[in-house]
Amino acid sequence: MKKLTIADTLNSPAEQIKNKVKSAINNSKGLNIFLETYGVKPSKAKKGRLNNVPFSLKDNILLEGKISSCGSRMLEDFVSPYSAFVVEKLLAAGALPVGRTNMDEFAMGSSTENSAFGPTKNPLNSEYVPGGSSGGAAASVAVGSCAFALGSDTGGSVRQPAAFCGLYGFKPTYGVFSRRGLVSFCSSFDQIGVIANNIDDIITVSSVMNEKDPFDLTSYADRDLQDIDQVNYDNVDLRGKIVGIMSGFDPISVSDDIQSRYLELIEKMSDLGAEMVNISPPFLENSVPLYQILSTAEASSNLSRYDGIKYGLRKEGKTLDSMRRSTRSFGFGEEVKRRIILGTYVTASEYSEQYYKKALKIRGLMRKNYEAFFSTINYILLPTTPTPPFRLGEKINDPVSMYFSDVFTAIANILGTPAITMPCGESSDGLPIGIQLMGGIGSDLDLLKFAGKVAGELK
Amino acid sequence: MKKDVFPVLGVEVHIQVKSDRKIFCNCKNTFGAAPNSHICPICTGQPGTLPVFNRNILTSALNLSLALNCRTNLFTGFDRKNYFYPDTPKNYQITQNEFPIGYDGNFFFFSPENTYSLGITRVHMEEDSAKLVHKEDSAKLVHKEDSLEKGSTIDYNRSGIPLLEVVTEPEFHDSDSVVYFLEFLKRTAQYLGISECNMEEGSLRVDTNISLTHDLAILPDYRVEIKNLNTFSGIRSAIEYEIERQRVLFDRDLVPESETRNWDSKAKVTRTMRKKESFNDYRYFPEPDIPPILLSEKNLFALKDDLPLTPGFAMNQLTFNFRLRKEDAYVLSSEKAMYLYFIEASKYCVQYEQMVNWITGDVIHYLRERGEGFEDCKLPPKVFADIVKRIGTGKLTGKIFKSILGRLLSGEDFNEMLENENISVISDRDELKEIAEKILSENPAQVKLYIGGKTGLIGFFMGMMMKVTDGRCDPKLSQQIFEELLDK
Repeated sequence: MKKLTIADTLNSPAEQIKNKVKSAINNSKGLNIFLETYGVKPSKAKKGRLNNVPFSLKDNILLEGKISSCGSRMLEDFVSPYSAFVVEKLLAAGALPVGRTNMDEFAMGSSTENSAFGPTKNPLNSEYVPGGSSGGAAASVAVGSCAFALGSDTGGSVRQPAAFCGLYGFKPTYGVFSRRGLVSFCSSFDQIGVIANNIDDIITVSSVMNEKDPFDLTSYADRDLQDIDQVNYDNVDLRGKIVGIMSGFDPISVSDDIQSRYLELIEKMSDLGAEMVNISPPFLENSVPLYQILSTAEASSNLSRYDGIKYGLRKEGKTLDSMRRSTRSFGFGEEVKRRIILGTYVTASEYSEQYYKKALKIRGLMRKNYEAFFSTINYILLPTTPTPPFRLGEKINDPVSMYFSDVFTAIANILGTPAITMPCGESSDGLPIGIQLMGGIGSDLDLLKFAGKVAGELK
Repeated sequence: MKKDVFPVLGVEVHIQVKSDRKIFCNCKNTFGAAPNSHICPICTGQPGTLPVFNRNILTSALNLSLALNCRTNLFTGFDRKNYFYPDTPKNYQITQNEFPIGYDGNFFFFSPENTYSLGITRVHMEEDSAKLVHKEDSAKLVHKEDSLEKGSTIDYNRSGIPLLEVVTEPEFHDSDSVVYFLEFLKRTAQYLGISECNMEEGSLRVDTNISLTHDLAILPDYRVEIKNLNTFSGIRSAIEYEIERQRVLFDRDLVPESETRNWDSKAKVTRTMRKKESFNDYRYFPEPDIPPILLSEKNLFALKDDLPLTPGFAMNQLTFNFRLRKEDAYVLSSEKAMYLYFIEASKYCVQYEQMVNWITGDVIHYLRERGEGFEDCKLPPKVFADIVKRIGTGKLTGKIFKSILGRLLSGEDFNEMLENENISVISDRDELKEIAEKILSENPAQVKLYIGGKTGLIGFFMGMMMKVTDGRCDPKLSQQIFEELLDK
């Protein structure tokens, strides 16, 4: 598998890029990575910073005139009436969309097995899942079909598959990338994220995509990120940086391999001069239930628009009600239905106080707490996942264990903070393991530079 | 003996805000355009779209809230109201639940005779729904949802038009005060430039809650909501019908059921639309796509200072400062432009009552005939004031003013008329005496009878005088001259 980077593609003739992409796509057909490929048409004219750089789109990010199905029968034939803001930015910079990638339906899942169009397999070992929900996105980079992939990260959906495929995956501060044209799952957690083969590429893509979008009130401009061109890592120093680390893990839920790689990295960073301090990230044990309550609550509302009336699937019925019922019963998969029901339950007037409103309060507390935290430490180092990649089918019938995949990632979504996963060695079975760095709100470029420095030292 | 029952009523009013754009997208806010000609991905709820709050609406909302003497939530924001209905493209409505822009208000309003004070529960912003167009007559359908089979279409032009909802406390006890409130609320919205409040176009929509109680200190534990009220007279009839319907139940010791009823304006009855058992849990929660809105106290004070004129202020000014009768003030202030016309004219003429009579009588009548309003009246208030003054001092007659009013309203200059035409009153004693002498000499028989004691004939001579002078003679002086001549 020959990987693609932005630097490679910028320095290669267009025809060569085209052939590379084509053969990578053809050679990986059995992995079910792409739901549709667009055919690569490199342009002669030089457009911008990402001239003829191929990238893939997760199936929930809109490209005008193309289908975006969100991995769901509900939107199997839905043609996007407009392009996502970040996609517009990438196209303007000359980037080439190669296709849309498979995903867990409406981004609900951690293995890409919840796709209505079959699971995607891990390119490193096809008996394993590529992670999810952006499993197709990570796999598309891993097989060398594109230099970077756009995914979406609501509870770890970019970082976990990036880790499972041995790649870098970045979820920025909430608002750095406009959500316009990203099909909403949980509006207050959703962020588009970038998966690539190195951090420099993530920085370049983030720099191109960041801008205040007048059509997303939660987006904002990060001047530092916009202005960055080339990072000079000589100016980045680990010394004097304070990194918070976990003081211990529950041995049953976090695998030995992960713990070993994590401890090794701590030692390495410490040797390089970073001050590694034991903290117990507060509320970490609450983050999965909190994430499930808040994300299902918003999802139940966000997904109610799929009713067979305006667009997408319609199953005819004798009355409006029966039409809506059969459309939604048939159009949504099991996991999506489970979460809609959960979300409806936790926001029902009888239970809202007990679940949804309580979770909101805890989120508020957490944000305050961590804000204080980040005034004394620079970063938090966490494993990306509690286990290395698992086998296809291993967790699909055990939703709670599947939800636990988010235990180290959901916190960044709850807080709105930036986080990046880096490949960090392998498991005893030879599968990739990722470790994650998280920074404070708005520290995106700083975090990326620091992570880039650490990654450089690891090579 | 049957105990007395008292009706208790509350009102929910939806006002469409007059704005260039819809509340959450850039589509035009218009009425009557071809179906689905003003729609976009946002107002049709396409996947991946996000609402962008049009902050111009905030000013309208704050102004109305202030005009209703509401308290303002300086921390305000939007919530989602979740329910499945085909006219709601996202199957949730973006509205304000927890922190409405205004709450705890106290609205002073007027009828031609009285002043009322009413508790306002809340004023909030929200988006309008799309419009379902049923091929069947929707009023005949008990369950509107049945109509899908018969072919219904959805016009999304209305989807996302900004609405202000006003909810009153249940403080009304009869239909009159409800209608007076609605009329005055409508005037308020018109004065503030928020809305035309045109019920036919649906820019003012009213729901009312009605229940009865034996004891006004205890609020009834049921309530009947009436929807589909399209005219003020319909509202009055529906309320009166519903009070009577419930009273009959009370007389039989029955308690009416909580339900939503529809007003059938043809049959003049209310009919069950849905029972409260099918109660909807709206599962409100904060709208995550729109950050909270923080208002500063400073801006609020500035807005209060700049609050546009309200009809309540106009009423107070007209009755206290100008000492007009309430009925006159009520009519005069019914339109902002008419009121302002009077205020401008009042700078030049103190005969307020006469001016009001002219303004609310012949002037508005002629203007309406011409399809115009006071805002584009071609007779300047200053000239109008001068004319009323002339009539007061006998230099011009009302009859003549009426006869030239049409020309004045089409822009002809009064002073030119005064110079070039014989329109002013003849008050020259010698001129009138000459005419009077001529009349007397031509009617010797009547003169004889007058001298014989039939003094009522003075009216006959005056009539002749009017005829000869085209009504321009000074009547007082003319009569005096006739009497002097005849008494000789």
